[in-house]
Amino acid sequence: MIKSIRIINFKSLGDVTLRLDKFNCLIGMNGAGKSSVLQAIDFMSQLMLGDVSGWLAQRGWSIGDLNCKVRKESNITFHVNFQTSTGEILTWTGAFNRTLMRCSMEVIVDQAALKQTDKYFYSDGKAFSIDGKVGQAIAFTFQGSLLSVLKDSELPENVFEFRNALRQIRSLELLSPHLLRKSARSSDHDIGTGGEKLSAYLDNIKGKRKEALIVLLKRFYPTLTDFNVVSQRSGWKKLSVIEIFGDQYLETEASHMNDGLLRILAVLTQADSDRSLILLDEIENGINQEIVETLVETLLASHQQMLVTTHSPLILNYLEDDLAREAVQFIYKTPKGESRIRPFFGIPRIDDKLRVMGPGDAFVDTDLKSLTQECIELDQQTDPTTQAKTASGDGK
Amino acid sequence: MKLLISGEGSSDIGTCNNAQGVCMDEMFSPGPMTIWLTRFLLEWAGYDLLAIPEAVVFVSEKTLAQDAKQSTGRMQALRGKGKQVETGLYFSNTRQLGLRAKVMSRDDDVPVMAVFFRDTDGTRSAPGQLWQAKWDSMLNGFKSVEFDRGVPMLPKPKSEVWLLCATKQGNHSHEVLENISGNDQSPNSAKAQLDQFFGEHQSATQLAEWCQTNPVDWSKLMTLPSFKAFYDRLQSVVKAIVSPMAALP
Repeated sequence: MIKSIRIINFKSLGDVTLRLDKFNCLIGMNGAGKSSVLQAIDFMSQLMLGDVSGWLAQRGWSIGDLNCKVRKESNITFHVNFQTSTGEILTWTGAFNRTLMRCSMEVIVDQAALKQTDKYFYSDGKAFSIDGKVGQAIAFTFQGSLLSVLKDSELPENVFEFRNALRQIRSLELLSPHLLRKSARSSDHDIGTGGEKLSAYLDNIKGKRKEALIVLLKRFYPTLTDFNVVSQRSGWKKLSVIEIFGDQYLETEASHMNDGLLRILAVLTQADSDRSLILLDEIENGINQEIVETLVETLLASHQQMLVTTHSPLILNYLEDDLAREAVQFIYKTPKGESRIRPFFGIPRIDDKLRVMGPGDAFVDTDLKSLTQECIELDQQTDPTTQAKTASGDGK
Repeated sequence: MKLLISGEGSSDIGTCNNAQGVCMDEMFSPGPMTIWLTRFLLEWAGYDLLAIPEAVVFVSEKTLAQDAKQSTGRMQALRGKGKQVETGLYFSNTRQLGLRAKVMSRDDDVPVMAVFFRDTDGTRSAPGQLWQAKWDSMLNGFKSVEFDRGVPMLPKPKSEVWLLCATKQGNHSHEVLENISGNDQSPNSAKAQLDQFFGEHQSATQLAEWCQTNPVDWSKLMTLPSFKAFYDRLQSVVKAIVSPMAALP
């Protein structure tokens, strides 16, 4: 499980650390940087997949869009803490060089290691070593992390687990009804960031997995009995759902399905997959309030890690208080334009509210503009550089 | 008449000595604001409530919060036109205090007045520019449970400013005191000025004792709008209890 991610110099994320639990929820005003956090994590995942240019092209971005415009450095730096299945905490630290499109330095260590020399993996961009063995020159080209191109058999078990977990992150941050409705080719085995290729992906879900998915779907839409994926000419796949009204079955093609159903379908397919961490932007979109509780329950019950963003107090109100204290993080922007993150209920007066009302009620009762200002003041109080300045000022 | 009160701590309304959420008589240590409150009641109703057994009941902030949390009743309506934010906390609290007062009044068969104290702008309750919104939400909380004997006690920015005003000389307006920062860490905070007046830091008990006889007259405090609002509301509620006919329009 990913425990935390610190990213420096990525879009509005000047220097941001995000603690991650099993379920995590980001809240904040428009433009505070919620989507940038999801994009940054998707970027981390892409480093392990090794196709940075393809990832940029898919998003319609250029490499120049990636860095934080209020900072001077060019490299994107990151620290990822990961807990392996044996409980060991690994830290992956690296610097992504935007000109070379790859990590010019990266290292994986056991966080508890006494000696800094105990490295599971190390690369300085010219040579690399694994498990402390003699270094080998890097005589080939690659994008992203060097780990993306190394053979599975070359990696120690814990590093292998870590790399795969990062590869298995799935971002659905661009989920759009328009893309969800589109037919897809049979060769497409995975759903895209925007939900495209859903029909081809669903075509691969058979037998018990399909039954389980329909049971889940019925919790949201009791009239739904099945979904069909029909193969068409040239391998195109067309999705439809079958509902029962009275004793009459009704089949609806994806192009006529409601947005909420399509989104739920996309989310459920991922919640049931072998993904490690799923990123969902504004989960409440297109979903009527009667099924919000079921949605929250489903996300919480999923065996994967979840990071969602929301503007909906209703979503938060369905979280238990203790869970909300851990899970809900407030993202805000400083006057300089950098995003920062704080546990929402870690702010004392917000926790006061939680003691008398639900998490969502506390959220809706809070003026996020004022809260941003308060958080900036709290940052200044804890920022050592500001404190040093204040101290020297007092001395004068 | 009985009095049901709740505040933030020992230096305003008071605290329980027995780690209970609700207390009275010798188990309750009244803070400076309770002393002032009972002085007004002595003046208008003619008796000292603190001297009457079980006449002053204190509910802790924590107990009130638990009441609110367990309540199944609808909270304040969501945001909307004409609806202020950052007021839900006060609304929920006075709503619960009002409910408790109604139960107490029914069980004991006496009129009960509820007084709810909060600083407008303590370090815990920023942003503090919304005095009116907070005042209204406290009244609305009482109103939401059809309790019309609720009195908000909402000093701006905090109770130390009311106490500080009581130490001042001169009959001019002291309204400017309400602009003092609510942050105790700021160099000229009301707390610091109060300590300066007494020559040393005063405990809640010492301040409560001082309040028994200070101020001699309330005219200086009446120049503070937040105090005046409390005073007027208190007076009208007390009048309605002690002489209901006189309070009629």
